[in-house]
Amino acid sequence: MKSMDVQTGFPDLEIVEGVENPRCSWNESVCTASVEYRIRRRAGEDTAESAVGGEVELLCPRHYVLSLARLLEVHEAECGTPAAEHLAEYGPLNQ
Amino acid sequence: MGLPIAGCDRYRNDVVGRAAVGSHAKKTYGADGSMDRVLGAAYHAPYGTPLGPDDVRVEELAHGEPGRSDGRAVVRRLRLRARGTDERDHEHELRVDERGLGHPLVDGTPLPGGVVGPALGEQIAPDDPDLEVLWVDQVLRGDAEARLSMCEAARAAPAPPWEGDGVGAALERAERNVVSYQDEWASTEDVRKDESLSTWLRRHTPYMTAPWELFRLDLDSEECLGHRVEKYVFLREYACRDAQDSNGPRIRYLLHAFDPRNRAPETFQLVDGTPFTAFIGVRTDGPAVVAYDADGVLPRDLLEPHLVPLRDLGSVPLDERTEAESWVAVGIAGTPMLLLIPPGPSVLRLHTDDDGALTVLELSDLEVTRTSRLREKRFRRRWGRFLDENVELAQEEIDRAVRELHERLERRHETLAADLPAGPRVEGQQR
Repeated sequence: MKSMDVQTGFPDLEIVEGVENPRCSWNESVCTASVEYRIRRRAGEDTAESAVGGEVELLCPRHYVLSLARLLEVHEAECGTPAAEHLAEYGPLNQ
Repeated sequence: MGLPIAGCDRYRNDVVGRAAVGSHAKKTYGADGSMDRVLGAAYHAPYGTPLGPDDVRVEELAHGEPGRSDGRAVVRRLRLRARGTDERDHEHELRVDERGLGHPLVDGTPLPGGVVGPALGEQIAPDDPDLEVLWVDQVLRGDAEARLSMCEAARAAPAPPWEGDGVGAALERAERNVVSYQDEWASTEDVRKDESLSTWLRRHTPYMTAPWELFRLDLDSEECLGHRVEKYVFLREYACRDAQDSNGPRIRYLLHAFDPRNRAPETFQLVDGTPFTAFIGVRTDGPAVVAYDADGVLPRDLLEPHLVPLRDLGSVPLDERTEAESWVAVGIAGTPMLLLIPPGPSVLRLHTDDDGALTVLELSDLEVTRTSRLREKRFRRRWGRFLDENVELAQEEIDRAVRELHERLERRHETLAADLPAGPRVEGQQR
């Protein structure tokens, strides 16, 4: 668990209501862009249980596009479960 | 074909001598769908190059042409002018001789290292039926890499201070809560051929504090094989342990078995046919192993009587009795399990994370992994502009991509709803 009071030297994060850590969840590179979209994945592999409780990922527009594209073009083919079944919700943050 | 790179002028090579030599007309390379067939789906050239398969000049030499020092006649020649690692233009050439063997050259000199695959960097044999296609893709990759690197240099923007191997960069990372990570992929055949496994492991984990341990597996003893369930079958285990968890290691047995004497294709499948990746991983804190995690491994104590330590693993360890290639067991000091590497081809992936505190070695099926890596490469080529953080994306471009992806997901929702009238429903997009 990373400590949240580290002085990172990156720009201050915008405050997003109800969200503890409003930074872009993309983990392939350091991203300090503003988050504008969200994705909540289903927690369980077994969709029959309609498990929802996955964590909300907040993403900047660029990395939201890449996250959805990877889910559709890479992950779907690997796991065999349709991409849509992995997502409990997705879309712009403020709608 | 190809994409311009923001901040860089689009540059196209002057392709000279495009007309075929001799009496044969120029053919458009890849028009027969060979690029798609070998590299999957609709072919995407690597991100960053304006060149594509149709820039390849093909010559058929009906009567052969003495062009090889070994006296073999060249019957087919592919040429592509593209950039090399030195960022200059070079004449890349593939000469196919009368036996069907391909010989890659750069400016007339044999290419050291030959042709390697795009997915795993595995060496491609000169008689491989897909050699031509893989050669074309390799030249395009080199061109893309050179151009991207030139753009980077032209931009003159300093690299972020947290990038790099130096102490300064490591301190920057610690200060900024950033960690470095790395992935290395290799085919076990190449590792055996080029260097020893121990060298490869050590080379890619320079900061790992828990040493690797390697053994040759002496499987002559039949009681070893019959130990778990039935003769000649091992059950592989899943094991994990965290120093903060006082409950001791958690172990479960996989629905997976293999016969180490006869490496069958199902070595990397569960009994239901699901592709399977075995791994061992450790998290260290200074010299201490604080957690480990492993799947598809065997407990060291079970194998102990059959382990022959390999201090310096030679290129191909041989079983002394059968003179066949041996199984190799890899472990990490301070952990109780061993990953078994079968003879023959498979894939190793070495993942390091958290500035070297986390190390994971994975072993998987060659073909399954190649397909999966190719899929990832296609994704990276197709979405190269979005992945290239030096490219400023226009709002319109982002909106278009979001719209397109949402539509694709919604189509999936509709298909699902039609297919599963009584089944579970996804909540749908909340917009």
